[in-house]
Amino acid sequence: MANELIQNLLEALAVSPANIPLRMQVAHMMLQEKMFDEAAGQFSEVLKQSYGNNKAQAGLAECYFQQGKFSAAIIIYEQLYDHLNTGDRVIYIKSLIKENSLQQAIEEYQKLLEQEPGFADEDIDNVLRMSVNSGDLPDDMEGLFGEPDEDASYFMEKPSLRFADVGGMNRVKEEISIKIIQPLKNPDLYKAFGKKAGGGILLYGPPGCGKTFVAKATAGEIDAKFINIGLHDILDMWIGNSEKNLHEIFEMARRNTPCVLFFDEVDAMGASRSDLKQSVMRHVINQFLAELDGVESDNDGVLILAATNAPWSVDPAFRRPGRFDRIIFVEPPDEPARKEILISHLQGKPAGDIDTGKVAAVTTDYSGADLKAIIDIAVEDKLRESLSKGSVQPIHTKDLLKAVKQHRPTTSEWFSSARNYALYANESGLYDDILKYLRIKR
Amino acid sequence: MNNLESHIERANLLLEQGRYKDAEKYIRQVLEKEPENDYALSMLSRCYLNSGQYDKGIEVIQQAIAFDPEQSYYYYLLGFGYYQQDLHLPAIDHVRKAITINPYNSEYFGLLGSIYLDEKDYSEALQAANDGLAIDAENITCLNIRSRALNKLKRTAEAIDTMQDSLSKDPDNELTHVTVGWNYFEKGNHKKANHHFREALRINPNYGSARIGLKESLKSDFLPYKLVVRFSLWMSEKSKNFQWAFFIGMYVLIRIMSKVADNYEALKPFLLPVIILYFIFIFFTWIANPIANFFLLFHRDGKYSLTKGESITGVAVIACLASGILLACYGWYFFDKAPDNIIFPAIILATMAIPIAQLELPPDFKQATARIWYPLGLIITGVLAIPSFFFFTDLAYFLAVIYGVSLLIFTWVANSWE
Repeated sequence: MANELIQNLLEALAVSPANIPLRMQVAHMMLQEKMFDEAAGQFSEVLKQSYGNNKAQAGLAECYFQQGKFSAAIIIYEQLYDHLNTGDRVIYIKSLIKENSLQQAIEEYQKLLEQEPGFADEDIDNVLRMSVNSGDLPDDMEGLFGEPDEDASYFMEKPSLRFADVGGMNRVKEEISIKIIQPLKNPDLYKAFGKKAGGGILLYGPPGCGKTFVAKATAGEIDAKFINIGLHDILDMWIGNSEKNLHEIFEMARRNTPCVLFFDEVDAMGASRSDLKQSVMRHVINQFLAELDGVESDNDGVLILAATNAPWSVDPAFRRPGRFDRIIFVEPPDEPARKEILISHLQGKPAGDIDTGKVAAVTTDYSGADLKAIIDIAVEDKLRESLSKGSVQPIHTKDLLKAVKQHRPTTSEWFSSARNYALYANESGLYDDILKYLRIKR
Repeated sequence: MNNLESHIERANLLLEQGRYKDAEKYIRQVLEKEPENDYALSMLSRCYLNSGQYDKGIEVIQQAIAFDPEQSYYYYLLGFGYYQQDLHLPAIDHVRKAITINPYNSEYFGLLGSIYLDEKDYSEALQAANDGLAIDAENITCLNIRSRALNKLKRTAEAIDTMQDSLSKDPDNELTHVTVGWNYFEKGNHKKANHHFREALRINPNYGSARIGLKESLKSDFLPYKLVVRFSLWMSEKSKNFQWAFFIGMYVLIRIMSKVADNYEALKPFLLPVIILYFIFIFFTWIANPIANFFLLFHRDGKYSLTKGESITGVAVIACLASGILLACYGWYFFDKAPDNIIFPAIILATMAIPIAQLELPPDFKQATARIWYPLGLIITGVLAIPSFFFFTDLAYFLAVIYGVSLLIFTWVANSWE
C-alpha cells in the first residue's frame, strides 16, 4: 500500500523534479518503510537543490543511523546542533551510545531531560540511567507516593579513567588509595590491623581543579560503577518526596557494588545556618547521615566521595568519624601538572613550536579549567587569523602567553574568601592545608 | 508542579544558600519562557545585589516594578540597591514607599534605619529601629541599628543593654558582635572591641566591617595611634563649622604663642614645648595610620589584615622618617651645628612621609586625578632636591622652596579631600 503510494509520488516527482516539499514527503515515507538507501538518495537530492536544508540534513542523518553509519550521523547532528528537535536529539544520543561516547551521550541526555522533564526512552534508559521509580511497590500503594517522578533518576556509568590519567594530585590519589581503595582490595589486612573499612572522603578546593575527575578515576581504578549526584539532584531532594529519593540512591549503590557514590557540591545538602530551622531541610540532612552511617543497611562495597567549593558551608555533622572523616584539599595544579594538562588539551590542535613549560611557569594558581580556557582563547584568535590569511596558522608559545594575560585565574576569588576562613575560623585546624598553600605561618 | 515553578523553587533554595551564579541559571530559564515574570525578575535582582552588581540589580528590579507596581518588597530591593551605591535620598524614598504599601515588615525599618545611620541622622535612625522593633521585637537588624544610634546619641548604657539582650538571644550573630565591637571601639575600649570583632569573624570570616574593626582595634594597641583616632572620632561628631573654627583657632593661637615667645625670653621655656608638641601632633595626624600599619606588620594576626598597598606605604613612611632623623643626628654629632646641606635634606626626607602617607596609587594611571598627581609631584620634587644639596646648591634651595610651599598647600588641600 505504502509502496504503491511511494511509486505514485515518485512518478509525480519525475514530472516536477524541483518540488522540494514533495521530495521530502517521499523521503520521509521511505524512511518509515525502512527503505533507508532510497531515502538517503532522496534527502541528498534535496540537499543538492536546496543547500543546507536543515530538515533534509536531519533526515539524512537518520538514514545513516539506520544504516549503521553512526559516526557520519553524529557529524551531521553536531553541525545541526542548534536546530535539532526532540526526535533528532534522541537519534543523536543513540548514535553516541553506539559509538561508545557514553559521557557525551549522558550530557546530551541530561540537556534533553532538562527541557523535556517527562521524557523517557527505553533503549536509552537501559544503557544510560537507572530508574529508581517506585516500580516495585504494590499497585495500591503507589498513590501514597504520588505519581512516579521521572526526574528521580540518576546516571550510573562505568568509567574507564584510571589514576594514571589524572595529572599531578599525587597526595590526593594516595589518600584516596589508603582510605578507600586498599581496604577494598585487601580486606583481611585491614581487619588484622583492626582498621574498619568505610567512611567517606570529602574533597574541597577552588572550582575547576579536578575534584569530579579524580572521583571518577577512583571508580575506574577499582573497576567500580560510578553514580554522580549533582547540584540539580540535590536541590530536587528538597523539592518533593526527598528523603525517599536519597534512600533510593543509596539502595541503588548497594545493589551495584562495588560502586563509587559521588556527591558533587555536597554543601548544598547542608544549606546555610538560618535554613536549618526549616524542618524539611533537617529531615534530608538526618536521612543523609543515617544512610552514611549505614543504620538500616550495610554500606560494604559502597565508596562514598563528596566534593565542595565551600567546605565552610558543609554541615559539621557530616564530618564526624565514620562519615566524611577524611577531608582533602584539592589545590590548583602545580607546575609539572599544568604542563601535562596543557599538553593534553593541545592534542589535536594545530600546534606549532610550543614551549609548554614556559606557559606552565607563568600560570601559578590557574585551575585546569582556566588552562583549557587559555587554549580556547588562543585557538579562537588563531582561527580568526587563519580565516583572514586563508591558511592554517599554528598556535605558538607567544599566543598562549598572550591568552594568559587575557584570562586571570578564576581561583583567586575562591582563595580570597578561603584565606579569611583559614585565618579566622580555623578552630580545629580544618583549613591548615589552605594556610600551607598560601604560605601563611601561624 | 510544572517545570517553571520548580525552576523558581530551585533558584530560591540556591539564593538562600548564597549560590547566586547557580540561581541565576535557573531564573534565566524561567525568564526565557516568561520575560514578564516580575517575581523571577526580582530574584534576578537579588542575585545581582547580593554579588555586588548594584547597577544591574537596580535596573532589573525597576523592570519588575514596571510589571507589578504594588509589591512592597520590590521597592525595598530598589532602596537597598541605592543605599549600597550611597545614593541615600532615593534610597529613603523607595524604602518609605515599601513601608507605605506594607507597614508590617520590620526588615524595611531596619534598612531605613541603616540609611539614616549613614546619614548621621541618629534620632531618625533610632526612630526607624524602634518602629521596626514594635513589629518584631527580636529583629536583629533593628536591634543593631538601635544600639548604634543610641551609642551615637551618647545614651551608652541603653546601647549596651540593647545589645546584651540580643547577644543572649542569639550569641552566634556576627552583626551583633560587630555592633558591640564598634560601640566599645568608639568608647575607647579597644581590647573588648577586639574580642567581639574576632567573634564576628569566627562566625563569618568574610564580613568586611568585622575585618576593618579587627584591624583598627589591633592598631589601637599603639598608643599614639589610639590618641589620633580618639581625636578624629571626637572631631567627626562636631559640625563642619566647628571643625574649621577649631583648626583656624588653633593656628592663630600657635602664631600668637610663637610671637609672644619671640618677644619675652622668660616665657620661652614654657611656650616652646607647647608649640613643638603642637607641630608634632599635627605632623603625626598625617602619618599615624601608616605608622600603625607598620607596627601591625609584626603582629601575629595583624599582618594578614593589611593590603599590599598598606604594607608598602607603612614601610616607606617609616623609612623616610628614620632616614631623615638619622641624617639629622649625623649632622649634629659630627659638626658643631648641623650644616644646611645636611639639615635641609633631613627635613625634606622626614616630611616626605606626609605625601607618601596620602598617596594611593591607582591600578591604571589613565584615571589618575590631582589626588594622585599632587602628592606624586611632591615626592619627586623632594627626591630631586635632596641630592642637589651636595652638588648644585642654588638649584637645591630653589627646589626646597617649591617643595616647602607645595607641602604647606598640600596639608590644607588634602584636608578638604578627606
